[in-house]
Amino acid sequence: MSVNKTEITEKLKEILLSAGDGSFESIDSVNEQTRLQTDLGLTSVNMLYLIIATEEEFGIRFDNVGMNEFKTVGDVVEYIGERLQ
Amino acid sequence: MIANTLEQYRAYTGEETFSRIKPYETLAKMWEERSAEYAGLTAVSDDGKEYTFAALADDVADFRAVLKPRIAEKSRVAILLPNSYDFVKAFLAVVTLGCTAAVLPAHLDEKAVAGTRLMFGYDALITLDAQKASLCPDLTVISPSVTSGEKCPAAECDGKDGCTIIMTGGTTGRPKGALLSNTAVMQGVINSCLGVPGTFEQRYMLVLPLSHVFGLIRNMLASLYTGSTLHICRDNRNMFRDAAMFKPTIMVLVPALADMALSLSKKFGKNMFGDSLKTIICGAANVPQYLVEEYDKAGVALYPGYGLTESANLVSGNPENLNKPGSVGLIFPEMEYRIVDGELWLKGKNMMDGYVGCAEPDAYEDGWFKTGDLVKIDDDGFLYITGRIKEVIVLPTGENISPAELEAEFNTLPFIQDSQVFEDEDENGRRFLSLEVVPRAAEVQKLATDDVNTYITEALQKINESLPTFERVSKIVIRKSDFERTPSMKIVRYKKCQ
Repeated sequence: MSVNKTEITEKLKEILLSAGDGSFESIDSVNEQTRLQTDLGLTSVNMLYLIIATEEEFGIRFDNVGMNEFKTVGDVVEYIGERLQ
Repeated sequence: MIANTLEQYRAYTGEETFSRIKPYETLAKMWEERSAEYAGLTAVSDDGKEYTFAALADDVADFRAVLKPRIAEKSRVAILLPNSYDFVKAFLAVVTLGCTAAVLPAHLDEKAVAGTRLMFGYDALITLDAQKASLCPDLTVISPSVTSGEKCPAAECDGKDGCTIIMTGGTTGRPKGALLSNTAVMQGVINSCLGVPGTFEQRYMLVLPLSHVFGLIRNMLASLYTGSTLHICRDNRNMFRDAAMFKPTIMVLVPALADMALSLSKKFGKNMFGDSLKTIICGAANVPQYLVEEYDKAGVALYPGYGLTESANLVSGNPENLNKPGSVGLIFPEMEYRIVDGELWLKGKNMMDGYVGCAEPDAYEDGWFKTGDLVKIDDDGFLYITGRIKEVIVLPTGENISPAELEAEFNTLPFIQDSQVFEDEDENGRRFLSLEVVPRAAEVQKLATDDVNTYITEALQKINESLPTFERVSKIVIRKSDFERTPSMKIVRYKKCQ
């Protein structure tokens, strides 16, 4: 499966939007530097949602990686990209 | 007032289920009878293996033989294990030996373990990681993997004997343990079965920590008591894969997880927990009404309940045929209650014997336990939580946060004069932890930076990231002026969320 970074980021934004139950005003301004916790205010359960939804959406597994290792949107995008290769 | 009688609950529960609810004075007696009654059924499914009640009873008797020469009679034994078959086996072995099991959160590090030892005074620790006891050189460390090849019978014990110590912030947020007797725990287990027909021989999937009263009593012990199968989901990231394989019929969830599963089910157009799921017991935090309604549309009955660590879990629950969204249900039998200035006070068989590790002289008055929760009761006897006078924040995940403790962490920075951690809410009702700080001007002037706000934010962020995930704040605001103060100069606490 070949998916470029922009496509991954766009799909991830959709997931983030539903993870926050539609409450992020600034989803359009989300970029790779956006911090998951401080900027988006994701809680531990939002993070769990993000990971489960990403696995379902992209058909990948988050193996051997702790949720706390993802600080920014870019970290998640990069991880997904690596798993899809 | 005395709450609803057991006889009243007979009708709510249904005769078939009610006739199987039998009181026991001790967990040892319950386990002896129920493990024999359900011997051939699967008690636990974990890590790809299944264990019948008979196999679990054998392993428990074997582990009692491991423990007996190493621990004193009626002593306290700590269990520091993740959710696993080992936890179930170790817990049953400790309590059926007449000892008290202090169940510690699995994420505690060696410093925190040493702190719990000072608080709870245990002599032995069951853990897979001996390093966690490195600051307690005289502590007996026992691995749950050790076997004896022998069978040790259960000890004689009494309902008044201690059964478990569960960590709690209580009404003040100061860490301590609630000491629950065998009688209290057994009443807590029985309350779990009341009001919901068909609670026996179910398929429970465990996702809550066993160090929490909701996971331990309402999930694990209720499952064992009812001859159900307990599937242990070891990693919540796998909960839906586990559900697809295990097909749970009942789940015990905090609202945040129930909400997350609902959002995922909507996004992917399927019931993520599978179609076998019929019942969700939901509590440990405020349960939004829309969860009851949305799950109902999906054919799943979600019952909001209300409980405390101090009450061996449930104080009230919604009987199936009387489900009132917005209410936390009817107060269970064997409880007495008073409402004093709006606050709920409790007495009953399921109440703790007191706190250990921290004196809380204001926890009781005239023999009543003061819950710190503000309530009202409607004409039908249904309980509603209207607010909280506790100095703790209960997150939607059910985790308790002590703002004072977190603030102390942020206040260690010399350029922070004061701080306030509070539960905030955005315009869509999403709740999160927020931090506001007042910088100390004299110290700020000394900072070697042109961008003070960024410097302070980054320093606070560093502390934030050193905290356990659930305690981290999601928003940081640097104030230009002091907080509003009371006449005694205490900060006026924000109450953005009730």
